[in-house]
Amino acid sequence: MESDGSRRLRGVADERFLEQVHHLLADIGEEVRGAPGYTAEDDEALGLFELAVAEIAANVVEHAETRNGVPVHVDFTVRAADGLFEAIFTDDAIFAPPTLDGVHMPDVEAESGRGLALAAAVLDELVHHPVEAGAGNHWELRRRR
Amino acid sequence: MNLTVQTHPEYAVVTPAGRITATVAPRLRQAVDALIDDGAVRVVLDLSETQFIDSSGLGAIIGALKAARIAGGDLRIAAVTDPVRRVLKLTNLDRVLREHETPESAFRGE
Repeated sequence: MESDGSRRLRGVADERFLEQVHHLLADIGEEVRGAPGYTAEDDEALGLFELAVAEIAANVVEHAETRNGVPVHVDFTVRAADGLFEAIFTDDAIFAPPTLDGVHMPDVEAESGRGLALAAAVLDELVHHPVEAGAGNHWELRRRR
Repeated sequence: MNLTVQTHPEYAVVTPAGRITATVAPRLRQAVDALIDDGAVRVVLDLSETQFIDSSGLGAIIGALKAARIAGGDLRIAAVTDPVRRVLKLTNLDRVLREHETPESAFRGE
């Protein structure tokens, strides 16, 4: 745990990373759910925040695998603060458009393509931009509670 | 995610326990495909022990639903938890996956 109470993961953006993100989310969920004054509204907000984090983590890993076998590294931080759940991903992959403009929920018969639309729908703030010109992906996810 | 499969004379029940995420969603799809291959085309997904599902999990369910219908059967969902219900509503999938109270009632009266 970091000094501000956040949790951090750094490593290669692969399936193992995805599993570690889920373990970290489960740990934070357990901690937050056990806190005094935790409400049903908090629980809904936490569940939807976890969903958004899972979707962005999967997006990071999916795009990392397209980089000609060169490992992509990712830095993930998550924290449950007063009134806010927040997560940040920064990777060193090639910047992966499309951006969040025009993201929409696909048809009900679709077997993929819901991830970003879901994340955008459940967050109060979702930011995606390159770390520097055309390189790296920086994601910020925020959900009020 | 732990996956349990039970076959009954009229239908089969697949119960995923835990989180249905990108890393485990293919296992869910494979379990339903294996049932369909064996001729068990009426499948109930018992979601009573599923507290989390992401878009990969939803994709696996939609794929399995289509496969079951192509084989002349159907896939129905039962005992849906609140967190999963929220995601089904957000994605409009509650329109194609109608909830049933229990696995036993999913195919009752067709």
